Amino acid sequence: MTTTKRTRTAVIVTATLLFAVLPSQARADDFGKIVHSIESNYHVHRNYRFVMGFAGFMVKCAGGFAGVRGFKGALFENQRLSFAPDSTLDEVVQSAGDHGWQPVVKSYSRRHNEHTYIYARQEGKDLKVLVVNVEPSEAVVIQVKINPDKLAKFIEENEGGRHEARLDSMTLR
Amino acid sequence: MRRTLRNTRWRGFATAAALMCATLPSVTRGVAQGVPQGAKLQLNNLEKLSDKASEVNDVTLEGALLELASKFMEADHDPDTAQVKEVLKGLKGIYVKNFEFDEPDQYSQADVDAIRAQLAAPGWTRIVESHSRRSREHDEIYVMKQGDNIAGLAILVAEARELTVVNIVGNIDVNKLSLLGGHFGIPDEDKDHHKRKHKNDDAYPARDKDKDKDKDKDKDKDKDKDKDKDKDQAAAEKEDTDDDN
Repeated sequence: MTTTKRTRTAVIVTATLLFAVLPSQARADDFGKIVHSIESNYHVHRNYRFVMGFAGFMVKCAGGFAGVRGFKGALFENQRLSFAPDSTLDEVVQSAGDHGWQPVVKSYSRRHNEHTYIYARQEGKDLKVLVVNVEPSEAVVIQVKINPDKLAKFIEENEGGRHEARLDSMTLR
Repeated sequence: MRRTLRNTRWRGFATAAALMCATLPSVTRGVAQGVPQGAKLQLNNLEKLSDKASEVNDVTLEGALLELASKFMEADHDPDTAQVKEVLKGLKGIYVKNFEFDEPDQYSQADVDAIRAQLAAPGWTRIVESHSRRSREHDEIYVMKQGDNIAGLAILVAEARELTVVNIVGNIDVNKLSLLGGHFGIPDEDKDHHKRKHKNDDAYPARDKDKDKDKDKDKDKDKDKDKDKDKDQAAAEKEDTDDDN
């Protein structure tokens, strides 16, 4: 391995680590704000932070996969999220609407203490989708940037493949 | 000479203006007459119910997202999905607001009347109304017609513990509309009917319940009598066979 290659690898690894370890506040976008709000209100911490960060980095490096051009995710698993005031999270998520996010789905159940929000924002040909789901024992915040045409094409191709495979298996029988 | 020229110009201008006024599209005149420009309802007044409701479902599907949903369905080879996609083609927006309450009468009549007032505007026609005092349910379906086409649809379901408003904007084929049930937060009529039947048991008067119980008891008694008869018959037949032996 040459020195240039080593340096390049070191830079990529450092960038990945930085991206994963950087506090959400530093990346002051709506995704970061919502994640920080969950962490501070419910006194919980993200799981698989490095894996999620790495996944996002890989999607960015690959220049998109299946129409997905950007990915940010935060998982909170097996944690107690039921004792925090809901209003703060509502306010934070709904303030996302002020930043051009269009609310698509707002669903919550006081009976089961579940909240689901889906927001979307168009950015040229791409569509950014923000999904927030909070349940008593887990929470998920995902932000993806997708190209609808490419995603539909990817699904069509794979569905087509699956359809053909199904037909093949039927003819084999 | 100048005067006649000016007169001719003015006459020409006046004729052109009169012709323009006569041929102006009906839509432009509609604005002045207060005819609604779209079939989209203002449902913001229902937002306050979110604080009281135990379950809230709010779906807003329009523009790029509706296109995206249509594209996803394009990829699906299921025939039902293909038909849903056909329905989606002409649509501009789907808006659903659903509130479920633990206690009855959590929303006021004024909340519902605010929506009904919008549906009383010219263009909207009520095609279905169903009212049940027993289950305290009032269902209404409105359509907005533009020529021969349907440009919008509104479904209003007001129950003692639930309020649902569905607003669909765009060219709608009524024959295919039922296909949207169960998709995009729109209630599935078949499933919902079953669910409502169970839920309305609470609103069902106790008197009627007792009547039903009595009916059931009578039926049970009749069944018991039939069983006893069968037993007696079987015993008699047994005795006969024993005697023969």
